[in-house]
Amino acid sequence: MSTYGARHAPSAFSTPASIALFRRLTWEGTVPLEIRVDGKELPANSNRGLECYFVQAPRVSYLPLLVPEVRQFLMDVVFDENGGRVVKEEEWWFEREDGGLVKWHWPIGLIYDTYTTSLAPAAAAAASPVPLKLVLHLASPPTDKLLLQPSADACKQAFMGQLKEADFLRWGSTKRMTGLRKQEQDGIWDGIKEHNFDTYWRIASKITPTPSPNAQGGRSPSPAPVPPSSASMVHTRPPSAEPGAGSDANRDAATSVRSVPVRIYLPDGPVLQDLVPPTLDDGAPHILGRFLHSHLPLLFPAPPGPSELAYAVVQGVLCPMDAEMAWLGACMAGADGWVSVCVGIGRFGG
Amino acid sequence: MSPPPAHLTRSEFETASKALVDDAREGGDALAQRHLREWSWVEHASVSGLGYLSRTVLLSRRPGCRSYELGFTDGLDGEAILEEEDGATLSDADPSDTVVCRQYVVYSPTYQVPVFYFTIHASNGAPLSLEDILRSSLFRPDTLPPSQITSFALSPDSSPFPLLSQGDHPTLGTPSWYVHPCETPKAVGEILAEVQRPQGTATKELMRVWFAVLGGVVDLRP
Repeated sequence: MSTYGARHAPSAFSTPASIALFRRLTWEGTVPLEIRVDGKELPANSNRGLECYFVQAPRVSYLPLLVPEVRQFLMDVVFDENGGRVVKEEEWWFEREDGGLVKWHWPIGLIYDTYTTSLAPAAAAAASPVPLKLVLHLASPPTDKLLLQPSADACKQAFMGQLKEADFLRWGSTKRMTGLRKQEQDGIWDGIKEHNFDTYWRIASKITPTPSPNAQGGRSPSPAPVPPSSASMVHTRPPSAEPGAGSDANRDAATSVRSVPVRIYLPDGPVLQDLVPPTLDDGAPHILGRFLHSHLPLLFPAPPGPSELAYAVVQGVLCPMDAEMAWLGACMAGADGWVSVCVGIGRFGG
Repeated sequence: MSPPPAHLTRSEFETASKALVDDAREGGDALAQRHLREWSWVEHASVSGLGYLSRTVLLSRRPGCRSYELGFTDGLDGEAILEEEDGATLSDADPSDTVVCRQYVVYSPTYQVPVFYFTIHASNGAPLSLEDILRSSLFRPDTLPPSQITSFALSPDSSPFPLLSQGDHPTLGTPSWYVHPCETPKAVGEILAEVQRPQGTATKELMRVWFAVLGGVVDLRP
């Protein structure tokens, strides 16, 4: 079930139900991958012509985690009995069909979104989602281009590192992450490996901020998911500075974080990262339009209107400029805690 | 009360880095020169505000030198191995023991401190394994804590973060090794609190101290 394309959502308050809904939607999102095995590397007697594996891969998962199912497919359909014994998974590595190296330590959804936002507008306007075409090599990883092999263990470490960074950005320390028992930390990764929403969120909910429960007002529906106005009026001063503000809800509120973990991905360009306070100095909630305007003023002129020159995609969905950064951080971050804003040039959908 | 951890903004990082490089180029004190020689400030090709310090140095694999004793557990089977390497018995006798190390000092927007990134390749272009990196002259002997070693990270037993691991260079986007910055703000902050006669601005002093702290573990002499 591909979720590429605008989702329609009713106007929603920041109720626990809507938080869970968007987290579930983000979790269940998938992208189309076409993984073709390099024909030159197939073992003898393989069934040639069939070595292409199509998969709707979860956005929150990682390429090394797909290796077991690709291997199973190859064993069932392509290799003969000996072929399965000959191949060594440690030698496997991915490449884009156009020759670019794949950042296998990035979440699959991010790999896909940066791919589509870098396509020329006409190609991006294809009626159905364009599969990301990858070549899977079974041998000879280039030691000059790849620093290390895409093993699941290396991937797990990279993932945990990103989670800890996100934790640090939000609260100025990694106490919440390091406060988890090792079993729980492993449990988060297990949730990713098994693609199990409940396993993941059972633990992630301890470290991920939630939009404040006392939301006021909503917005009228617009043709893209409408992040509800979190309008909780919680200031970014640390809870201890406010009398009577010591409740758990406030402490963990998305609007109490120091900074939302956000990165901007420019098409074929560098990754931008900066502090993203949930509330601005004038007391207004920090919305996507202002955030993008402050970092890419030429592409995103001052809000409120959307830009004519560029657009922003989060989890594959065109993100409205009035989306609140705090809300994005609580509901549409990746499993690694980061909100990835992929910028595309032109108009979304060509 | 412990001193506040040391942080700086990206633009402070840029100003201080350029100032230090200029100092080193023009002379200045011997200590500054040693750590800071041959660094240059590089900007991203098209996007401003992503500059970093860069230099390339030649290092040795240290054959013939006695490598340090490292107590670490093999990440795979959990057995503790105390390894004593006598350089003369190293089996990977590469004819050329020179390796090329590209070094970078990049700003971390997460931790708001400089971070040391590097890549290190043999003369044939092959990247060094982590074990070979630890044996090279990049790290000062006996300065690393007891750690678990895998092919992709060096993780001290005492810390939730790996000391050395792989990541994308924040500006170039290419894969490199980096020294994790989580302990830096505290270490630098403590030293800054002791500095009697700071030379120049506070952030330049911070960078100078940062280099000194890094230099305790990484041999920064070119």
